[in-house]
Amino acid sequence: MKLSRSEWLTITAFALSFLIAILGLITPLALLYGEERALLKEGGSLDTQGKAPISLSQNESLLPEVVLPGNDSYLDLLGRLSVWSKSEEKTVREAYSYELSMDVIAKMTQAALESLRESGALPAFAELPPIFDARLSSNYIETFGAFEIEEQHKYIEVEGIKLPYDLGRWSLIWQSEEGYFITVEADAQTGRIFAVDMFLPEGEYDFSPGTALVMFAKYHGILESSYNVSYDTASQCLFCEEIVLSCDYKESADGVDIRIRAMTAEDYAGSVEVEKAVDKP
Amino acid sequence: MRLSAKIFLCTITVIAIALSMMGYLMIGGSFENAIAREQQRGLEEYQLLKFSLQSGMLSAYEGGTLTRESLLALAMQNAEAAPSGDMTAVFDEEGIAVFSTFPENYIYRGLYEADDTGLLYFIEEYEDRFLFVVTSSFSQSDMKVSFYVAKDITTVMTEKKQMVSGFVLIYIVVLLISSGILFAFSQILTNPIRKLMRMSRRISKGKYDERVEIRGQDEIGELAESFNRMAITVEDKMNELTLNAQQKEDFVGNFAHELKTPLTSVIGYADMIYQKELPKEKVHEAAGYIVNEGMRLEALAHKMMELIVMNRTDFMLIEMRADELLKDVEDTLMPMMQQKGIALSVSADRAYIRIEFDLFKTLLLNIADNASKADSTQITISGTYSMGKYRIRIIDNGRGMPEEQLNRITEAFYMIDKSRSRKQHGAGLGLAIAKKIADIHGTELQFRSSIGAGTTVQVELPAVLAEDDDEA
Repeated sequence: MKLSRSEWLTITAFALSFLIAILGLITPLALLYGEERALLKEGGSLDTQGKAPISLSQNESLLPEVVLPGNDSYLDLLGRLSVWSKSEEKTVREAYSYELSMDVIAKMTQAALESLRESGALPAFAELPPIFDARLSSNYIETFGAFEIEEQHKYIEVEGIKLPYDLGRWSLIWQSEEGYFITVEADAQTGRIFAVDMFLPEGEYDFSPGTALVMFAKYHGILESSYNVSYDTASQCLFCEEIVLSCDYKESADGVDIRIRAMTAEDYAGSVEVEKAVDKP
Repeated sequence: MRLSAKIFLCTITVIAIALSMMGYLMIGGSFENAIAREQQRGLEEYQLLKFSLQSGMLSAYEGGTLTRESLLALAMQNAEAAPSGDMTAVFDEEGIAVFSTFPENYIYRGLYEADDTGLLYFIEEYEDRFLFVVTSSFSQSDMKVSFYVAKDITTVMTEKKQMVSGFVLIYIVVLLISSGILFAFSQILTNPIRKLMRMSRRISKGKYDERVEIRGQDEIGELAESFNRMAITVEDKMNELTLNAQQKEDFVGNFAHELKTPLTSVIGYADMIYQKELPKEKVHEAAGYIVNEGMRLEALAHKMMELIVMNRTDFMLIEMRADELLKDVEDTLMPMMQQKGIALSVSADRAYIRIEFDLFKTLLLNIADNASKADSTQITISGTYSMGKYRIRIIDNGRGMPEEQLNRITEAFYMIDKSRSRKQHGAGLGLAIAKKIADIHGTELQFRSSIGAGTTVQVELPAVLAEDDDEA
């Protein structure tokens, strides 16, 4: 049987179409397989902090400078608190090369706690127990105000102070078998303590929230600044313009629970609202 | 290649490519996201485990108990704290494993590649499992260690394989279903075109009255409409051509027919001159008839052409005396009637009628000729005036016609007794021409006939009575 040209064309076109259909199936599978193989071959790397503990090599003192060179202590603190409070998501990450290593931050915060205890900002307690845990949390900000943070813009400028957009905070925990439990949150770059949570087992402790907040403010260098400072005994808060230092002090049969923290006025207002909502029956 | 095949193949190809791209993008994107998510999770888990190990080492160091043994204990605690399925290993400065939950035959790829300023991560296949491996070396409390963690991400790969299987199934099923639907659609869509093709073939074979029945407002509907319009035009043109050809044929037939009666007269008169010794006046008279009939034939040829071929209807009608017309008809018919032995009597009132002379005479001659062929022995032609009408009757006593056939006798080529008509050299055209001539004069032929009793044909024309002193 002899086929006409048109019939040959039809048969060829059907064969071609069938081939395209087969290729349509095979091609994505081959590409996906190729991607999978490429994934197995490729890897990635992340920079971690260098070997040298930078702060120790740069500064003999374990107490950090009140402010970074050239920065106002009040504005520096406000900037860091603001950036931290804008965080949308917290992640753990390695310390960057300009941040303090675990060794250094542990030593710095221990020294700072000693200093605060001596100044009356913290009650007198026995020697710090061994460190239990330490981790660095980083805030992840996609937007700051009206600005969208782009990867290449590593810094955010707050009150004229340039701060890293992924500001890091070390969280350190000391815990002892006797029941001492101390948590500290400190800036990963400056080592400054922003929050202290303490539980001290039963005993006699000489502690005044007012004194503690004043000494905490002094530790942050904001008492010496020209900003207005006031203390509210009812709320046990020390107000310095946009910054609020708060102190919760609770005594119970088990022991003493103390929470001191620095926050922005905005965050403080938010936390008060939350407390009111919780207190309502 | 058929249009339906083209539509089918093109669409199937597009569907195959679209499905293929969609499948690749969806599976690839989903896989990429899942891998990125697992990587992020793996890195976070690694970081938490590393912080835990580091803080344990720091604590041990502060307590003055950081040794290889304490590191082993910490590594064990760390492994217990690791999420289920994760494998961890800790190596000392010399690269010797302090602790490991990895299988013995596991090769620690990249262990020595990561120095203490970097962290290395990659995916590897190990015994049908896929692992996300993170490793780094770090110095903590005067001790350098390497930390190696592998997170099992086989589920991501399994999910991908399931998606690929699903894609293959969907691809085949969709392609098969689409093929079926597309085949049906391509047939439905191209069906009107096939109809058009069939119809055009029929028309090409001469069936000009065929039309396509396609309804719809789309392009094919419009094409069908145009096609039908074209077919109508072609049919009209073909009909016109056929009609023209028929008319020419008719003309030849008619003309030949029309020649007969005058020629009989011409031959009769010519024979009379030839055969007999006639007085000079008679010869002159016979020659006059011959000349007149010859001229009439010449004029008739043109008029017949105009009447039959060109379908002309606007002949100029001229007022003339009806009695003279009938006299002329009598003179023309006389030789033929004498030859056939038929008694011809003509009587006419004096009146004016408006006629095209040659044509109207042809009408009367045709009717008289028909009467002479009907075995008549007597033919009477009478012209009477009454109430503004001139009525011409041609009455014969021939065999007559069946009444039911009277309405058909003016059709061309219609013959009641075909064999007889052919014997008498009849073509069935005489009355058809007569009817046409009557139509031109705004009148009609009225027939009255019965078998054995003869036939009467009557034609009426508007007329004006002639005064007695009017000269012919």
